[in-house]
Amino acid sequence: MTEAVLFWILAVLAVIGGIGVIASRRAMYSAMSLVWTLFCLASLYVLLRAHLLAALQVLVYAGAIMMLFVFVVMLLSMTDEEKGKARASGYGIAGSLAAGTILVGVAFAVAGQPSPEGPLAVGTVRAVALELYTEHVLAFQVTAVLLLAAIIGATVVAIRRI
Amino acid sequence: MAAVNPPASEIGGLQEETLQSRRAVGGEGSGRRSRLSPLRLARAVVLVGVVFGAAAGLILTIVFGLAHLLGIGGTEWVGLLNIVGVAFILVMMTATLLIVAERKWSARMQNRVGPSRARLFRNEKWAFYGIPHLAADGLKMIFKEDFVPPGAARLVFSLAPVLAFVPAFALIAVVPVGPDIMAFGTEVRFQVARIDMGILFIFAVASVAVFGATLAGWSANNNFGMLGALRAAAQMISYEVALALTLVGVIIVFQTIRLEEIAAFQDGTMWGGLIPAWGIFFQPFALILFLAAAFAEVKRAPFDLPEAESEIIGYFVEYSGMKFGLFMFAEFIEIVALSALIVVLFFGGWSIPWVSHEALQSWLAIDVGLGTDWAALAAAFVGLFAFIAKMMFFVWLQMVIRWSFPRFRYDQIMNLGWKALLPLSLVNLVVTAAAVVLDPTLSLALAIGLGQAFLLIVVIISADSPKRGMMAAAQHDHPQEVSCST
Amino acid sequence: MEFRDIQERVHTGLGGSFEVQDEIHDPAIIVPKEQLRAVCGFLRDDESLRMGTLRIITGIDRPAKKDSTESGSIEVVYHLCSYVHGHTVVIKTLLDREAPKVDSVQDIWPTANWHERETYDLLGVEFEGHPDLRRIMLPKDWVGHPLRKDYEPPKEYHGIPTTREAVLQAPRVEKVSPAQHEPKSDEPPERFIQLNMGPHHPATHGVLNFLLETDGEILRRVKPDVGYLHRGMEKLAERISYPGTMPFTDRIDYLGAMFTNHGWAMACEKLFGVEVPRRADFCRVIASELNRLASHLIATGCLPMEVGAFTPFIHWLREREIINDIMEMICGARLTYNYMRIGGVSRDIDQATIDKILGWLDNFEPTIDEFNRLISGNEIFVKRLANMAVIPAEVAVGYSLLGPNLRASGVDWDVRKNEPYSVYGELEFDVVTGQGWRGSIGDSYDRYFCRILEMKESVKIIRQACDLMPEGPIIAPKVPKKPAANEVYARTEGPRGEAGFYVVSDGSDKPYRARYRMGSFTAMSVIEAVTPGLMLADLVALIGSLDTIAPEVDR
Repeated sequence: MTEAVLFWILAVLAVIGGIGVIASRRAMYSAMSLVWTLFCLASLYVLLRAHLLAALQVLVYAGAIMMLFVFVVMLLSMTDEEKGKARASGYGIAGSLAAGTILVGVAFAVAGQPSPEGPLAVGTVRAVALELYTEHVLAFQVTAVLLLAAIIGATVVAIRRI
Repeated sequence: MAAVNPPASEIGGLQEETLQSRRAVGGEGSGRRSRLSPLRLARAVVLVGVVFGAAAGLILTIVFGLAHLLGIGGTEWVGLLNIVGVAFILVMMTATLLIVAERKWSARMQNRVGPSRARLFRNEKWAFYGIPHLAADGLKMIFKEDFVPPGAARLVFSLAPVLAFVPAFALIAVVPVGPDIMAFGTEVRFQVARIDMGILFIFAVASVAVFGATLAGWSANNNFGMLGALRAAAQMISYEVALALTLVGVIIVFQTIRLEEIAAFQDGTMWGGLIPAWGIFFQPFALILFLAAAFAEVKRAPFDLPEAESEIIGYFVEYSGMKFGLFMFAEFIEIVALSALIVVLFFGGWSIPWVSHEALQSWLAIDVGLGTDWAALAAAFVGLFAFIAKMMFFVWLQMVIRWSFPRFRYDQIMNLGWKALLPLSLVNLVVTAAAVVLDPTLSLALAIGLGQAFLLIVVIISADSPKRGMMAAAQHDHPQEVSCST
Repeated sequence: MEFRDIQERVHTGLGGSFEVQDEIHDPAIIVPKEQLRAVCGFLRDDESLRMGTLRIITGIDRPAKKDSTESGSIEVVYHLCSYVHGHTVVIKTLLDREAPKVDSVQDIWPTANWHERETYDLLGVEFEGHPDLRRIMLPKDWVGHPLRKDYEPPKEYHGIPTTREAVLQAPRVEKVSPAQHEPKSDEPPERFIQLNMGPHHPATHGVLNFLLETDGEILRRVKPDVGYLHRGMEKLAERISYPGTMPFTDRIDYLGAMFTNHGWAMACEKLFGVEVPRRADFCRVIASELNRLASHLIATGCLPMEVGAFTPFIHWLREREIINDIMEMICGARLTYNYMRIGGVSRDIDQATIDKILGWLDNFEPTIDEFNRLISGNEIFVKRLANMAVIPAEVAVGYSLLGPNLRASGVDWDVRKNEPYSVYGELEFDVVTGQGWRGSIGDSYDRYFCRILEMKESVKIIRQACDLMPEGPIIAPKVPKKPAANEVYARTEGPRGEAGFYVVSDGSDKPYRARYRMGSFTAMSVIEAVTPGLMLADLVALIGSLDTIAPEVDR
């Protein structure tokens, strides 16, 4: 009962945040709305007992990636002309249609699934770690190498710019 | 002939008092200061002990007493009681008192008297170490003009202090401040939230704390604030990496990321009762790195670049009144939370060295004759007291550091973070992992840790003495040195 | 070299014959303005002259006599000095008063840049070839040049009344509308941040302003904007009698008031031909060195504060408080002493005061070591200052840096040693020069540590002076009211370097022209040259290490 109430509250808040992302006129407010949405999602994960996912959601997305967004927005300091005007363009309509299609598709896909009885124990730190370091250790290592390559690439580009 | 100070009656009571206090501290015509007498020291120790004891008793009463009365022992509702007992009483109160304590302690370090003017009922004797200044400060903050600079992003400007305050406050949620107890049929814990993420929660919350400082600087439409925001963002993101990596070593040693399990583990001993199983003995090196990274996260000197008041005045340059107060308060809360974290991770949490919680409890129950229930309560009290005492030591340490060191420069701080702390914490991680894999009983890890500690002490001692020698040489022998000039 | 030899050398070297004004105290060579640059270049570069330093540029307005037919003139006076040979020379050039124009010498001596701007500002002399000839002390839309003898101050400035009567009658201003900013003429590239560091900034505390252009944290250009504390000290002296100017000299440099007192007193004594009693000289030395200690305490205390360590500053303030007590016993004042008189001092230093001084010194000397342990050896402090803003000896001499700033760059020059005045010749002490203690010679740490070591020398001097002090009168028995027409230049070694006083008398009881040469003025002018490439935080530390005092810059 409590969980259901919390779920609906958080879900509504997350959607409000999502609307804020696209409706805000200032880039900074959009970024902050996205951070808000991410927090709501993290709370939903906590409800599902997926603590690791919740922590990573906040740590990586809200704390690191969104911080970089904010950093860039801060440095841009857009003037009023650059913000553009809200108007219905062809792109806007096409985008709305695409989003609506996906929403309907997802709704049908989810509706067909049976809802699980109570929380699953797959989201705990220990469970995820065991999966990650035994079953998927190769993928894990390859991802790490990929990230390393990305870091080196970024450094090279930065050095050339300086 | 020579004019001396005019008589006291002419300059009025307040000024005369200032003169007297100046003489009491500096001594008239003397640059030397009075020494701390054993009597004053003893009095201070007793006073501090009474205060800590009162705090421990208060927490125990609120959390256990209410849980027992309401019959909610063992349920999640104990977490709510802990929000009152731990978060509000311990953290809030300590942070509040720190506002005065910092001023008072910096005054001590600087040979001043510190805040002493606000008194209760204007009574000369009721200065209470400056604590009434809290009321004065608070009133000042509340009644100051709430200024929003023109051109500011108003919503973000108002939101930023809250964004700085909340993560600082949330940090304490996963820290266990006392042992779990079971007495009179009521089971309680002294931890707000007992969650699976443990340390990950700390990282996650700490990573969000940067928004407050950054948005405050950005939203104020001030170039100095903007520089402060950039400094804050760069510094906090950089040190987050090192902060997390230093703790991975601790996680490997204790084999868990749940703080209550880490604290419980440190209640034991190693090598047959020779050495307490505290984190400091396994990971002394990580402690040093963690302290550096954590100070940078809290943005206190020598890492106070985002608010460097002599350079850029700080990211909160445009804030006034209670909005500024929230930034200040968040800093103090971070100090307390950080100290609590250090204690839990490295200094055994609520445990006392060589005496395990069970041993203490049974000794109290049987040898002292308190009976099981009262012994459990007494043992919990001792645990809480130990935790508070250790925590306050690190609060004090942070204050001493704050008031002794100059500030790094921006490039120096980046170099320190990326080129020193990060590689060193990686080395520490590898060494620790190897030691734990080779010897799962942790003996090897402990030996390496003690070796590190020994090495650190040697390095510190040897690095200090030639410096002093050189300083002395420069002072006393410089006639020879200066003869060879243009 | 004496003046005659220098004159000979100039004549042979340039193959001409210049007029000489040798009836005055410091004789001057009068150079036609067409030949000024040639003479200056020769004086600087000739091996036997090596006038590497331009001490000061002074403009003197000499309007035509009432019933004379010839038009008036403006004299521009250059005081030169050689640290290599230890000699000095004065050259003058006479300009037409209606259209005073002369070639700039700022490429010969970089320090001339600011001096010429000041002369332009206050006297309206145009220096041709000067890259940046703007007003420096007064607002850029100010009308007139105040040091002209026929200057009439405007009655109001932007609606603000400037005379006392008008101020008293003016209605109370309830709300001031914000000033209209001028549109920026040359828009800088987007990537640079424009910052106004000051006047309301903790590091510049209301008295000066730096216009910064930074690339993030790295400084691209720093323009000091001075004049916030310009009180027209030199103009004031022209309207007040010689002894009456003494209290005003206190306000030139509020941290080293004894030295400005002393300089003014010495200049006047030279003019009046007054002998100072020996005891008075000792009183002056003791008071001056105590004042030097007090000033260095502030300088070395503020620098750690600028880099973030607050505690050392308070510890030094405690010591300074005791100096202030002693000063109060000596002269009755704690900051603006007004202690010296023409021909002596105002009050004697009695035995009780000397006992107190010596007692305090015994405690103070170990405190210096304590202070060094507290901050001078601190790793972060050293890292912040070592190798930061290195000023090599040539730059220091060219920009005419003075005092500890000059000596930190390795130039062994101390007026007390090289041109002993008062009784400094009889006292034992060492001149501290920069050794590159933690980095290279002339870095900010050297400037800081020179001051620390100079404090020890001052302690030595005070001890000796207290020992050697003879009995006797403290002020010359008779001081004339009016001096003969003459020109003198007197100098003392202040905490911020040589305090020079150039006084021109026309035989009346008021100075015809007084010119003060102060260390902070040149120290401030060097900032623009050494800052590019430093970081924002370094600028604050650099200002601290140069120990600039805004009233001294602006006067």
